[in-house]
Amino acid sequence: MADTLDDEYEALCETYRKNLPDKIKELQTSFHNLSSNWDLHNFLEFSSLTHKLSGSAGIYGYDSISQKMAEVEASLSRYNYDIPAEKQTLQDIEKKLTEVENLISNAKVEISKSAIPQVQTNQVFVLKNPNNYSLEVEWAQKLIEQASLYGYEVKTFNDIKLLLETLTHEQPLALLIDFDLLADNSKINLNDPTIRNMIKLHFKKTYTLFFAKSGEFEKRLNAVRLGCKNYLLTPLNVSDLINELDNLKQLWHSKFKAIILDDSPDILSYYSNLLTNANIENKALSSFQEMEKELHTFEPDVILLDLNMPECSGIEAAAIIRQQKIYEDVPIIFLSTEENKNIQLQAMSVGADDFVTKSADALHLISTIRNKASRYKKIKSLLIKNNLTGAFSYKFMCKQIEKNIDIFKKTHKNFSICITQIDNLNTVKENYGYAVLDQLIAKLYMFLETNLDSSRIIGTFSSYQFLILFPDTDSQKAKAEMEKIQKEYQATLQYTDVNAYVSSFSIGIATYNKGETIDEFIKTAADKVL
Amino acid sequence: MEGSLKKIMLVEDEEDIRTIAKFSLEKLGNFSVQYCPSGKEALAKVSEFAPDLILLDMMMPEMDGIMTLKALKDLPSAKHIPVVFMTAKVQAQEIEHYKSLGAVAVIPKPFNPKELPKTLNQIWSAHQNG
Repeated sequence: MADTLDDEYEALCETYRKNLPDKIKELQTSFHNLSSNWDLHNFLEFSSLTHKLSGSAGIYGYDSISQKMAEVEASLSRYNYDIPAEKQTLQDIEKKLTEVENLISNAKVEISKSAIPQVQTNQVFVLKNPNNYSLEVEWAQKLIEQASLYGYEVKTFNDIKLLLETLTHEQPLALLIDFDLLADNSKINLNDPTIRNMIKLHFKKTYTLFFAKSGEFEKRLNAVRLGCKNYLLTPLNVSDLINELDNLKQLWHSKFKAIILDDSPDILSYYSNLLTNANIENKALSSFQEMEKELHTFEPDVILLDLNMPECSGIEAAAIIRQQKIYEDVPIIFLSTEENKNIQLQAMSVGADDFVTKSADALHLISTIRNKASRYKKIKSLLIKNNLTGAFSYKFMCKQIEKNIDIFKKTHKNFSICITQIDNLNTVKENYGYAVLDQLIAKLYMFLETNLDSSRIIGTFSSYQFLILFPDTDSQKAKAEMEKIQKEYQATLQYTDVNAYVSSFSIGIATYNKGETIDEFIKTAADKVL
Repeated sequence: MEGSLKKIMLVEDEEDIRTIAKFSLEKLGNFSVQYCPSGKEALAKVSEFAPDLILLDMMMPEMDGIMTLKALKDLPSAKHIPVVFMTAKVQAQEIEHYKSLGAVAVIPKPFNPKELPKTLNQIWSAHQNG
């Protein structure tokens, strides 16, 4: 959305939020009327107000309010204007309305999928003491310098109140909290339930890392209760921290792809909408033949199969998928109205990973898909990625180059490769040892990954050499791109635990020529780097 | 293909939802939209506005979505217009029932206002091709 549209959208949501307190007051009055006088008019009025708030709150992004009101609606649906609810139910409803009232008073800070600002995956907020022990100041400065080299923006706060205020409208990738500062009673009273809830709310929705001088059990327990996900002792190792941020960033950017196979177009569009709303890219297909085609090009992370299809049943379809070696591990989830355990067992025996009945809650389905897909992606990437750096394996790179050779044969589109090699490897090894060398390689990979265009594919050539593929790029363009990165890299200081040094790397570039074999092509680049 | 989706009639009794849907359909989707707070009003206005598609809330007082849909299908000027239901109470097996009544698709509530135009365009092209 354009900025002005974004602003307009935010303004609409803000107006809605401002009216929420009136809505709950109206609901409570209406409920009071109904409890004291259970008749048609009062029943219809309260039902209608409940239904409206349940529906609109979800659309404006207040999911928990919507959920609570849906619960009230569900308990109300067991009664009618001439069948009054029992005392216990009335008390339950009243309790739920109070909960909604509390949610509304916190509505300013509620998380929601549609109304909140997107997570800024390059932003990190740090709460730290500015004038305490000098070590702290030093590492924080180092963190800011290092993090900015890897594309992160670090904002530091000295005051928890200011941090919480900023968090109501900005959502960083991670929070780093100086727990000794937070626990300092003179600044903020952590036992005050309002403050505590506010802190918990923000810390739980963000990846929050506490750091402190000591880690006694009570302190750690308090940290966990405040929503802390990781607890580190100072002084922190900056490069470990950057690694952690990189992993986190990757998680946020991971996208999942699903294929849905069902012979009913309506059910297909229902599931397709559901998955699209949950940010899962999907292909909705109605026949097995269509799916066969898509499997190769779309490369799904998960497949949803209808159990009962006329041409070929879901169980048969799953069996055919599993017969093909490359799809041996793709998660398959069956969708069915079938509650029969025998049929479910039969489905599992052909290699289904899960069984979700069509009447199941949408959220349950989405979380099943995300879990299965993310585990599959992890396993897949372990097989094709280098453990140390995260770069793709050499075998995987060869496959990618072969793909590009095929494209070249069909379309004459140029493509290039580049091999990189760290200069003065032996000097680093002699001065600092293998551990630092490994760190240097892993960092170079991150540097390349951050600075190269996302269409470039980075793989492993040898232990200390990378092979980069530039699809649809001639050698001149690839060279210009790499030379720019070479310069930036040389300008970056590399840190060990004790000191800093400058590192550089050399490159060898080759553009594919007609008739070359893949080995000849790679050798051209490898020769140039030497 | 008869062309792209341009005119939509939104039948929804809840004002807050109409407000955000107005933003979504007009500003993000560039559709021309007729708003009706009740099924009755939809029936009165449908012939004149002649929408490409009708977006119909299921739970409304007096005339609910199903009653409105049945009445629309009885109107010669409206019976060919595809109707899409919006409802919070949707489970996969209920879709068959809605379909048998003549709805072309069901959008689960709460919907995401930023995604609504895209969803409607997808439903529209699926309907055109089917």
